[in-house]
Amino acid sequence: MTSQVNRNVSTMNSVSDILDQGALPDAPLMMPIQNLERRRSLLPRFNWFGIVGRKTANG
Amino acid sequence: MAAHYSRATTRKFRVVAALISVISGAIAAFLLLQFSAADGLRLIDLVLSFLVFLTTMWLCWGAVLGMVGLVRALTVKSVPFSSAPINSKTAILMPVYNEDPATSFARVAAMDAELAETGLSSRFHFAILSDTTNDDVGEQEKLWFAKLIETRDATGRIFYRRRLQNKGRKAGNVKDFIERSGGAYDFALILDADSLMDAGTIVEMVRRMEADPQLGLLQTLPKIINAKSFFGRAMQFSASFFSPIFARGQETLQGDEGPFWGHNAMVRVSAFANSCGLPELPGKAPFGGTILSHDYVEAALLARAGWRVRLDCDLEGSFEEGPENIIEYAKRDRRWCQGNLQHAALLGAPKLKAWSRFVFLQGIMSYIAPVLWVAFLIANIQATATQPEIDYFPPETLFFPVIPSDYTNNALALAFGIVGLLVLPKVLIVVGAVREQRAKYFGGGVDATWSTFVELLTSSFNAPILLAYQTRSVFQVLSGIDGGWPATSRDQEAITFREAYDASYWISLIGIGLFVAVYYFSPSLIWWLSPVGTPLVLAPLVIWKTGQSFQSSTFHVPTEAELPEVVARHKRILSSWEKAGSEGAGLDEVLPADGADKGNAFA
Repeated sequence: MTSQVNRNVSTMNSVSDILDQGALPDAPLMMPIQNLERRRSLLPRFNWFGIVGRKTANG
Repeated sequence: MAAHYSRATTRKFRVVAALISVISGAIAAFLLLQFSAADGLRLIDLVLSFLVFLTTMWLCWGAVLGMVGLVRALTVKSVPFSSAPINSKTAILMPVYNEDPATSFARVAAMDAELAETGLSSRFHFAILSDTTNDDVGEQEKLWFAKLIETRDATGRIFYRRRLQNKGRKAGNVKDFIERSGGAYDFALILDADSLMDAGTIVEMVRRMEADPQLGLLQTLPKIINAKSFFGRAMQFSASFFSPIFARGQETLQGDEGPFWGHNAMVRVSAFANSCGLPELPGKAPFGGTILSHDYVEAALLARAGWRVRLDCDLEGSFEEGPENIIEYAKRDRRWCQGNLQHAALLGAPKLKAWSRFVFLQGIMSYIAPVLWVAFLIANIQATATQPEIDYFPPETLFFPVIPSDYTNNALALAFGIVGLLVLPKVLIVVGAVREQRAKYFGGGVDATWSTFVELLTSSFNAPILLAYQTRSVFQVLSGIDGGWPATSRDQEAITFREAYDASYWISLIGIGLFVAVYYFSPSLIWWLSPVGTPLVLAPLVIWKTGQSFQSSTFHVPTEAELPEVVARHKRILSSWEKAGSEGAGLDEVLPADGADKGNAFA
């Protein structure tokens, strides 16, 4: 479709004005970061290091 | 809106569905174990039985969803749309990412024009949230935005902003909007660049959000539109004919812990802001970093915070476009694979509802299941190749022959059972559609049945090819290869054979290798292998052929017979923009119908 659309859109002087007027309204609302980290490892505490080459998140 | 069941009833549905699935898996495993261990139990027999237990359980779960959905669709009557006044303010968000701006912005114009006709457009704002990384496309977006504002006379109602650094991808894009402007709105309708929704549906969604203050998110079931190729139209038919039934099943089992599919859904802005700030996951991609399939996580977080998340299947004026060929489908699936496997890190997240954890598990399973099927196939070949010769005269029985028990019927029952689980729900849906006269929208009973038959045949033939792509995706993700964030190619022209070959020659090689290995090690399995092996060998041909334009009464869907008004309007607007771009004319189509709505800031 992209190629079919003639890109000769009228580059009116007011494009930048329109963009300015089209700026998002200013009404901030905070989005606090949620906690998604599991408290305990799903795997039992064990020294996996020797077996799988890395430690679990909780050591 | 169809009535939703109470929590207790929902729980009963879940338990029964889970029991049926587990029992079916167990029966399948038992049948296979009896068959394969007839000549003595070996470790490989146990492995095979375990694999068939998992895969059958998974298949059965899908079949149960279909059955529950069918019962619900046939028994529950929809409640008519409300006409209550609207007092809230809604932002309609269209995130874009290197898409063709003329096509996407014309969708905004079409929806805005539809809303103007309801006389409620002052209650809605549009925000085009660009994460475009290609500067040429970015420049075009500015021009087309100016065009959009000019033709819709929409200063102060339609906004545009482009982020130069797309931190957090789509979820970060929406978050950026909420942190900048979310305080101005009660609700936000989140779309994709290819989404279209009719005004009646949008307004009804707002009314439902207003009527239920505990409703945090309302998801619609988008219909696929504008498909042209054989593959695209098969998917379009499937999404229009089968998906509403399966979705009803899902709607029943999930209750208030419903899904968010990332678009064509409305959120309560305050609930979303307070509950859905996503962290970066520790570690590197593909498991660490930005959460890719953010929508599932956001739905889980809303449910964790006590908000209802609901799927309402009766909101029918919701549309999107789908992939036109297997390669585009596989590209999208690669992204989803990484996103779903990443959820493994979130299974133990604190205080999530049990159902939300199950949904994560379900998503992971949908990508692990193909790998299990591949493992099952390989284990089967290995088991047959290493099968010991039958000894009819073991030393302890002297001259009395020992004939091993023949459990071939078990294997046949298992094969038919698995095929039945795949086919039965779709067959019942056709029967239900004919009985309830729904089939008439799909060309009548005969055409709908024929389309179902062809769809079943096609999806069975395509399945091994998709299985190959999915298995590769899983191994890529597990090997730490990040799939990145490729832009979706919409409106793609017909695929060439060269493109199909380049993307799938390796699948052909695997297919040929499989046939050679089976011929060499277990020639008795060659016929069993052919339904899987033949599509693999022919993959480039299948991908090329199914990616071509396909005009036929097969796969007929209602939206082809009569274009939904908003879709037709989008086509007209885009066409007039193409003309206006070159001739500077033809803008009348898109001017607001109601002069009172022109340029109003919301009240």
